[in-house]
Amino acid sequence: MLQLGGLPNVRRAFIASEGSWLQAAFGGWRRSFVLDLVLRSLHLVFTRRNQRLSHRTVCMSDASHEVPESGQIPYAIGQSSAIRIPIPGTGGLCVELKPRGYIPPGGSTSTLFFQDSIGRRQLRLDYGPNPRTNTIDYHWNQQRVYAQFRISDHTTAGRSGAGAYQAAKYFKYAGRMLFVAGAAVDIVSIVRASNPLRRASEVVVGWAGAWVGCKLAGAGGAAAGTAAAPGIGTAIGGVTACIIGGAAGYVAGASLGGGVYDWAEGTTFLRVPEVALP
Amino acid sequence: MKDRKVLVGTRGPLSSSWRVALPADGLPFILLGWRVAAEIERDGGMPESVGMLLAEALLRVGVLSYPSSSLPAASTDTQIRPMISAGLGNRLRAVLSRAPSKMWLVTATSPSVACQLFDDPGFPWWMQGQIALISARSSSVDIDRPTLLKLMDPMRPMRRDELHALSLKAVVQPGVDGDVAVIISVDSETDAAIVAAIESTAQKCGFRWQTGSETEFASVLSDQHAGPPGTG
Repeated sequence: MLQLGGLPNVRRAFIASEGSWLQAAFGGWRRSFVLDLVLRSLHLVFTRRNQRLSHRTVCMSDASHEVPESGQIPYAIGQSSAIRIPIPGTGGLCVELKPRGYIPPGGSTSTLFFQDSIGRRQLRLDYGPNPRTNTIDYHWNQQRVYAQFRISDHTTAGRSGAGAYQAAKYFKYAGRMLFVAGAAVDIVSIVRASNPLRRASEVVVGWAGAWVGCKLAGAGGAAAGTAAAPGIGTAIGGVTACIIGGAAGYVAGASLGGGVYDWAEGTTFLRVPEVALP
Repeated sequence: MKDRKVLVGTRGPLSSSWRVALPADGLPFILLGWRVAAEIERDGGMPESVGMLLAEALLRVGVLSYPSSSLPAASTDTQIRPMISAGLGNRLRAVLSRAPSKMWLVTATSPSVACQLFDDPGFPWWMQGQIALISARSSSVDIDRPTLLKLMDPMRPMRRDELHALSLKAVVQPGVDGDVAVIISVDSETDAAIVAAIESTAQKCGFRWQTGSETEFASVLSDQHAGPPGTG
């Protein structure tokens, strides 16, 4: 019998009862050893999965501890209005809904920005007097990014630009409200969960996953949108992909957070007995 | 074919389309616009050649002070003063107004330093978030941070007592998208001196200088027909 002090209960049981695979391994029966190892690994995976499902079943069936709500959807949608969505291949430009630098009290008439971290290089969607066309229209203001978007300063944005302008204008504030609402729902779910620590682990890693998912997917969407329609396409592709990636990242992150918690919870450490040196 | 190096000015009356407030108390002013080569006009804001021209012209009248979000290189012809938010209330206002937490007041006597005010991303000229103060050579501007930020609002009419209190000769503010600039002078003599300096500097730099009505002004800036934006 092997001395297995210090290993988790499940693992001890797994190894201590499997003297047969040890005999097969050391006895040179490689085929049966490999097959046995695969079967035992699958058994271990499904055993732990069933343990997690039964844990959730207990949570769901207990009416006094309702199903933990999730702020996944509003959080994923809302964060896209606040996160800088990178645009690959542009030397650090990102999609944003707010300007950089000091803006006088009257505010900015632009609502959609593709800019670097300090705002020196930028393409922004504006509405107001256009000296080049002698009209008041939706137009692009551009500085130092002509090579990336091929849009000159004061280029008229047209109907699609008008739609994007209005959408950005309202989404800036609606998105922030959704972001806060999603976070609030998650926090409430932690308080109301039957296992707050586990739920907190899901939420925190879920938020991190949402951020990562938004950045990665948003970058891809922005690149694809730029290729299709520089400017408007960049914004639509970036924001849409950020929302989808953020939602998926939240789910993956929450699952990871819960799994890590379950693993840590199921782990016990036993003190190894001291043995005198010969 | 339009001459592509043009500096144009108008004394109004101005419509609101230029996004600058007319100064109060009958202060003299001039609105400046420009046209340069097409490949330069792809980028918005103040073209480098026009910025240098303006800086050189204004420095003939006095010294030029402006807020800077970065600490410029020290030199003998430049004075630099940090502008600190004193008190919790002022700091909170600074945060809410999104003004840079660290800023300096730069007083320049060299055009190469002064023209940097048109290219500061912390106080972006192209977002109307900048201002230039022209004062006599004998003294620098004694101004605090809240007052400076208050003056930077282009939609707020400039008053004569404000210019006198700060011993300013003139103020330069950006107009719509930083594509025009308004120069407000404390009196008509200073206004005439500034316009004369701009005219001679423009000729030296190869720009054609012209003045006219607002309609003519808009026509020069436009690629299409005459009239201020929104009236054509």
